[in-house]
Amino acid sequence: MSLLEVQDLSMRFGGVAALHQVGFVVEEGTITALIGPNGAGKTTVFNCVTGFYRPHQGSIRLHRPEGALELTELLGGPFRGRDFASPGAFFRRLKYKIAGGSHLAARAGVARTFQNIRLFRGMTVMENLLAAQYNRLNRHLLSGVLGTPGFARAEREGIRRASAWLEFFALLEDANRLAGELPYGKQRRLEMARAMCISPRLLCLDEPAAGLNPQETAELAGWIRRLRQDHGVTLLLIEHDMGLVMEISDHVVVLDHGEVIAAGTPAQVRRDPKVLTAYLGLDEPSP
Amino acid sequence: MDRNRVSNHTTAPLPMDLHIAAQQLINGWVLGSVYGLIAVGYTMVYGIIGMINFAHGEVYMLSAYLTAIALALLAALGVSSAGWVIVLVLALTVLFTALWGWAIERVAYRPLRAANRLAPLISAIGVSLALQNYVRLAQGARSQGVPALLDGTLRLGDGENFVQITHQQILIVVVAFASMALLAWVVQRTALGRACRATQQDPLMAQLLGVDVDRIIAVVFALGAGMAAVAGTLVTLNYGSFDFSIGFVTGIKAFTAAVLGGIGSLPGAMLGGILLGLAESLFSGFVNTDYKDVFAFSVLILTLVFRPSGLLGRPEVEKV
Repeated sequence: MSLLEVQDLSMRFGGVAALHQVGFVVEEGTITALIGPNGAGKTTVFNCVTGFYRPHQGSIRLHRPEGALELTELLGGPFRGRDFASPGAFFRRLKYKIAGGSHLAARAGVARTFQNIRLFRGMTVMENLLAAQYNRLNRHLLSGVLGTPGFARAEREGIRRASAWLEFFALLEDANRLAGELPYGKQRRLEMARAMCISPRLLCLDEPAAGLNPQETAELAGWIRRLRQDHGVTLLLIEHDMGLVMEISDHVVVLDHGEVIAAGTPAQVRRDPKVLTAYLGLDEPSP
Repeated sequence: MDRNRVSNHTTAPLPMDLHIAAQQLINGWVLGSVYGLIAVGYTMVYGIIGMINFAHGEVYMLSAYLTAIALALLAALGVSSAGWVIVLVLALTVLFTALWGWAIERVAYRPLRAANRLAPLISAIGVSLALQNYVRLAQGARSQGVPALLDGTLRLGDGENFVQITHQQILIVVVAFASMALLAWVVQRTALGRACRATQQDPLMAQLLGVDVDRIIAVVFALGAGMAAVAGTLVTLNYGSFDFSIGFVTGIKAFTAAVLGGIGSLPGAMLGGILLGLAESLFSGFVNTDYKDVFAFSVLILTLVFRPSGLLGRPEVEKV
């Protein structure tokens, strides 16, 4: 069953087409890699999927047990002709116009990490993970001030969940250190742990192996696999380390100049002449 | 020389009278607590959206009027015990001033969030003028007054050498510190405060983790306005008189305090407030009362020139 369905996605910056009719499907419980040369539009796809950009055209559907959610609508775009055809579409558009925003993608179960790590550096490791559970915790001002039982219970539950993820990523002994003080490899793991704290259905990793040494990359592969196997997370990742991509992915989507040029299993993609052309810059695919 | 008039010396007494210095320190501490309470609003808003909310002084001014309205309301309801009046007036004023802070952000700043940095600043100046003139028209330009609630005085020393602190002043210091402690607790220990800090450090990332950043920014404005309302209520109960223009100078002084302490830093705002209050008081006690505003703003200029990041602020780090 597909979890994420991207169709006909187009995005322009000024006159430059960053994405042109991109379409692919991420099956539930799989690891999908998005690869391509620099400037191919991979990060733009991520930004659309996580509700940060509003694409000019196309749809991104997140299929959840409670129904499909159109992620491109969350930012509250302008009314379109077909919104007036059905009251449902009209009120959905109106709702997101008033109270829309990127945070809704996270609440719907899409988490992401960044290529250049974006931790809350001035907060402790534990606080980083608690901040990610904002929607689960009791965030009423008065109950926090008065320390009501409900608040305390929610905090305990939050700390328990955070500790479980710290343990998973072998960061438990660093719980009270400032996130900005951690060595680079641990910061990468912390970013993944923090993303997991929103209990995502889909975890988007933007170059998770960037800056890691071969041993750390091997460990990363293990964690990504365990996330899928033990925790049922579906993963979508951008990665330049082809060794890692070929090793862990079930499905590979290749982008070049904002278009999907190939998709399939790692073995299929590796042999695809168009992919070789894009990567090696050959004019004609070799016979 | 009339030694009871401690606040209006215009010549420096030699040798230095210790009790006068002590008296000025007390006065300065009281004044500084008020500056600190207002400075918190500047510093929190700057921390979260990088904007100087020049309408914040007007929010303080509004809270003085709301205090008078709340006092009248409680009198009409027959609440007469001073303790209850103080608690209820504080609660009502904080609540309604916070609503004003929230509304100002919603109407005047949020639509401009994507615009360049100058737009919200100009909008803030517009809000400030609009509020001043609204209050002037609605409430009259004359100075208004409320009766004193507490009129006791604590006097230490004997004969001509004494220092005194009124019960009102004690109330100001105690309530100011209690509310700052409460705010620090909220920011450091609650889920809401954690989300505020996360948003301050990286609003985009906070959003991608499910934090409703618009709501957090609104909360920060409401909290800042609430703290200004604590100051407004305390000052109004103490001095008894106010008019539509009190927000301007007090607001800019509090802004000076925020810059002195390091804008963006919560403890900095409190420290800056106290230091500015002490410095201003000592200056008017020993040098010249008439020039105390000149002195306060010289502090602002010197801070900006020699230590732009303030006492407790961190130097601006370029974001990657």
